[in-house]
Amino acid sequence: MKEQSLTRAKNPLVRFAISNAVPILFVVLLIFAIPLSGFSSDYLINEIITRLGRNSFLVISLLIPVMAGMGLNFGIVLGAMAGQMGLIFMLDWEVVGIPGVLLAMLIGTPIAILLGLLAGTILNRAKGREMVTSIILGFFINGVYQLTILYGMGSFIPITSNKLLLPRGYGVRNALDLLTIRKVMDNMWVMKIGNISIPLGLFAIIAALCVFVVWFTRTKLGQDMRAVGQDMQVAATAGINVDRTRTLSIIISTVLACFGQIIFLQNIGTINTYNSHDQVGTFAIAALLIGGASVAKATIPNVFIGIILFHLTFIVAPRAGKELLGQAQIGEFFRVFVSYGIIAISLALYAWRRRVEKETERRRAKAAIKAAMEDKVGG
Amino acid sequence: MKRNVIRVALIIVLIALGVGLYVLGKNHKIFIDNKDTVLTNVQYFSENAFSVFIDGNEVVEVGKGKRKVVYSPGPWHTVRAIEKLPDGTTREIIGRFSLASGDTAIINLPVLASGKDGWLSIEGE
Repeated sequence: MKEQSLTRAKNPLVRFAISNAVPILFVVLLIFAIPLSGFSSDYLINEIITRLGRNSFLVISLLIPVMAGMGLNFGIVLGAMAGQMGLIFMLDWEVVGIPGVLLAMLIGTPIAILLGLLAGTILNRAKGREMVTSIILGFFINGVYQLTILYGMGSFIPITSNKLLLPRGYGVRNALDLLTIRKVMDNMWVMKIGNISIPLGLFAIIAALCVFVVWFTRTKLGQDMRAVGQDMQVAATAGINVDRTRTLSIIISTVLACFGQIIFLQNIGTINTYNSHDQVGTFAIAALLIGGASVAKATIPNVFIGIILFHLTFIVAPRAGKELLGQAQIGEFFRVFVSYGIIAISLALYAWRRRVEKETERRRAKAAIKAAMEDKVGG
Repeated sequence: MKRNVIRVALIIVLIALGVGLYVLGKNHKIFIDNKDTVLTNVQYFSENAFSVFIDGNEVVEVGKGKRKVVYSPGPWHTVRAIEKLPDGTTREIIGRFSLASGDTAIINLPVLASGKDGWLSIEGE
């Protein structure tokens, strides 16, 4: 009873606080952590701007599967792997600058489409358990990726550059330098305000992606995805090909994640060949959830609020930990704990809300039936 | 049928785009020689140092008898060499050249400074 009164609170302030509990928690945390860290505002703003440019594409790639009712797509690691393969070929062919980044995207796209198709097909067979299935699928494809990179490249996949190959002649080295494309997208068009650099070119691309997502939700396919997300059976009755729609949402998400990973790595300037993609899904999902999204609803503002709050925590936590407890390592542990913890809390909150809603619906239906029977008896 | 035609056309466009990006972004190795050389029975001597700009990139200082290497992307290139004359003045020479993908260029500065052809030799991969 008390749970119901919490979710159905009449006071709008209480309702707002309940539905935005996670972002509010982080804001409160940051209010204490930022002064403790001792970082200047210029430094923090610069860092946040860089991280917004670096991560937005990856986090936005999660929106479409949420719309299609497939939850948080942990399978974006598949797209990240496709992007990394594109980058390896780009490095081998010695293509540099913006054309290099675009070529890596072009090479990564068909790989991402194929992986997205595979993921979509598998997730259609695991309806209702998409998130855990996509996590395991990510592990599986990671194995295939490692096998391909470690044994296939340089043997049956032609890679000729000695800078990329292991001394034995096949397999790609553990760390690859991306100096030839480092920050090319960030430096395309930069505006300086005092000590703060704003990568306008990259932000324009991210804005275009946001416009695409908004436009996409209004197309026939976007509406179909919403319908499928709300109720698959009703959507199927309305003549929508549910499985195809769900598969398309995963393919789009995987391709966007492929682009996102390339943008991310060009900003970093190195690829950790065998594990750059490992944490991509976790961090992107944690950022989206911290922004106030849930498994069933995610919007563009959630993306940006989430990235700002999550990465501010990332930046200030080690220093705040050091100032508070004398050890920066504690701050590092804290941020890993925060990423996984927030996913767990959000999923638990979502499950709790769903349970309360179902219970409320059940009670209402029961009351309606009771009232109808009383009317019948009275009449 | 129409759908298949569109799909094939899209694939062709994407491959063409890939080839275009490869040509535009392919990095070329360019050697800059400031060495004595003989060309069609004429000897050219390396007498002065040069400051060289390839495609407006960072300056490369090439001393007498030295060779430097730079990397520059794309098929079209411009070399701007500033010769430091013994009297303290400078002289600017500009040359243009194009490279196919996989080509390596060798620029001979004494020949370029003389204004004669043959300052560029291209080696395929």
